[in-house]
Amino acid sequence: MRPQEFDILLVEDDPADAELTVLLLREARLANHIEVARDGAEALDYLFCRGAFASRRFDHPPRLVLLDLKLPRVSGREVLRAVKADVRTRSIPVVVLTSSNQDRDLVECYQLGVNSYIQKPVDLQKFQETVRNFGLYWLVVNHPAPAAAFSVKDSRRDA
Amino acid sequence: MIRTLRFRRRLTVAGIFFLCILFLAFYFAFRRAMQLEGINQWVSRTQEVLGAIAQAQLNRAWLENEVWGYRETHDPGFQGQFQGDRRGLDDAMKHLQQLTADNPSQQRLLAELTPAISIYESLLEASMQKSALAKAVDSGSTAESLIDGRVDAQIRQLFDSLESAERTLVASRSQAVSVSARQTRHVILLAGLLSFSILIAAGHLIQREIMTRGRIEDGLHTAQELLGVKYEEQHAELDNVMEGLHEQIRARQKAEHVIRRLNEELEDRVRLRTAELQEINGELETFTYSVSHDLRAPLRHMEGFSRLLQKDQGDKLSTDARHYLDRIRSAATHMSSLIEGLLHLSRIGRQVPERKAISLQALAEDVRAELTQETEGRLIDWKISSLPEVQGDPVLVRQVLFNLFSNSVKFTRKQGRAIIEIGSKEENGETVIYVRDNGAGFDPLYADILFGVFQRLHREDEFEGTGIGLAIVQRIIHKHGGRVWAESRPGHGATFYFTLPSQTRNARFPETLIGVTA
Repeated sequence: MRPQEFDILLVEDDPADAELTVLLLREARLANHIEVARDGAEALDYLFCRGAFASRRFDHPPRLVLLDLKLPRVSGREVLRAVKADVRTRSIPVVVLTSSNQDRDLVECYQLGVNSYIQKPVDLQKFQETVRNFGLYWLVVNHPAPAAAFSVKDSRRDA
Repeated sequence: MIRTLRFRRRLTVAGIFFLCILFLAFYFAFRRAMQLEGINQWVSRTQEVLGAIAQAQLNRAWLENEVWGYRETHDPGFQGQFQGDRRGLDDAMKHLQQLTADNPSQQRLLAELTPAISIYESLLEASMQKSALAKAVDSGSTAESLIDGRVDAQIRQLFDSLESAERTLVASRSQAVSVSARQTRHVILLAGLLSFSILIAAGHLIQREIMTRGRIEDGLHTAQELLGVKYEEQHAELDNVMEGLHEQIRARQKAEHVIRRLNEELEDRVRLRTAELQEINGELETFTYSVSHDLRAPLRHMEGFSRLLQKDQGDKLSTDARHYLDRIRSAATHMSSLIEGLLHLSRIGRQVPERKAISLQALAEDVRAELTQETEGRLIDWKISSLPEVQGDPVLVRQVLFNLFSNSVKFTRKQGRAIIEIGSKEENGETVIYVRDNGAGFDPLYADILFGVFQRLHREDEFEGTGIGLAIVQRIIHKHGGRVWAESRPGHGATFYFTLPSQTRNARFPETLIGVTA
């Protein structure tokens, strides 16, 4: 398994949603490498290179994390908190992609340091547009953090 | 007080008067006594003078006797006695001279008498010596007189004069003494009488004063008794009042107790209700959260996959099948809108409105501009007259205008020329805002249910909608403490009215339960 193959980590428990999202992402030719985590715990294992993903390395993070909020076991909010609290994962762009547009969710996510918050439209065409937009932005337009930003055990001590 | 002063003055006057009379009486009696003493001295002097006269006459008689004795007996003892008595007579005369030294008339008499006495004595002595010689010659011629009778008579007469003068003096002085004594008696009597009457008067005065005082005391006593009775009465009355007060206090305490108990009950109930409400609120939160997260996903899948099916397999499907897929997709979309509306309504329900001055005019222009895209290609005559400033939450009030304008835009769709008007008017002291259109209107029979959630007065194939827009309008207006209502006739357009607290009025926004407990 080559780490660099996975450009996007999609955290989504609903298989239909996961299928639709992956479909749309592929359709937009934006990500050939999509890893889907079915719950928060799996996502954390992946992001923190442990469990089934122990062979992964922090300096090869996904280019983008698409995070649903309502997840079994560990919620998307907790995943976001953990990612943004750790200096090794903090630089990974996390986009919340969820059905909800509740103020509470928005406030919490932004306070935890989410990079973007997107509500999944019901209309497929709109969803398609949305996926194309944020995919283009995060994977093409946006300049990712260099590898050094993710292997900073030492800089953490310096801080 | 004045009375007492008058009494004291009177008593003092009486006392002074009394003392004066006593003093006068005493003075008068004293003077009289002194006078009397003088008179008595005078009387005893006179008696002395009379005694001296008698002594002198006695001595004279003794001298004559001795001369006679010698003549008879020639006893030389008589000669010795004669010489002694002669000295006694001279002494008596000197004594008289002394005693009457202050009486010129007597002195004058004595001045006559003294030489007469001397002559008399000389004559008697001569007679005795003559008799001694005669003894040898003739012892007999005893019958002839001893001395010249004229001398003797003169002496006798002078002595009588002296005596009678003294007796007259005694008589007159005794008379004076008795007069003086009588006057003294009268004076003392008068003084006594006066003193007595003054005493009586003073006594009367004192008695009267005592009686008056007694009367006053009696009066005082009576007054005191009366006062006592009054005091008792008032005390009793006070007791009554106090008792009444105590009763009131007890009643109040009881009432307070009841109120406290009721309050406690009320508090308990409020606590209970609050807890219930909080629970319900929590459930509602969970519900909306769930709706927001979970209910939309299946719709998205229905919509998404039916579209994918249509796209991928469209040419293999019959017209009917494609139509059914359309139905599925539009149903999913519609339900998504319903959910969206519900969540919106619920979000507004939880919101506590801000309170700011809003320019309705600017807000209306803004909303109209926002609707430009939607109204493209349509002929709409917007009439935005001058609108007042209101107090409220700018976002929510904007939502009201947006919903009402959207409604008007939607229901005037079939008009060749739509007229949408917003204005304000003063009614019963409050500002009423209205949005009027010349659209489809509605049956006034259903005006009441117009603002209910999911209530629609038109068929979906005439005018699409969720039935949430006016419910949101109503909720926002109510949250601001305003009112909202509508008037219409089918085919004659509709007018929506609402009120908002104006800038000058300080109406409080009613706090919603959720706002309070959140």
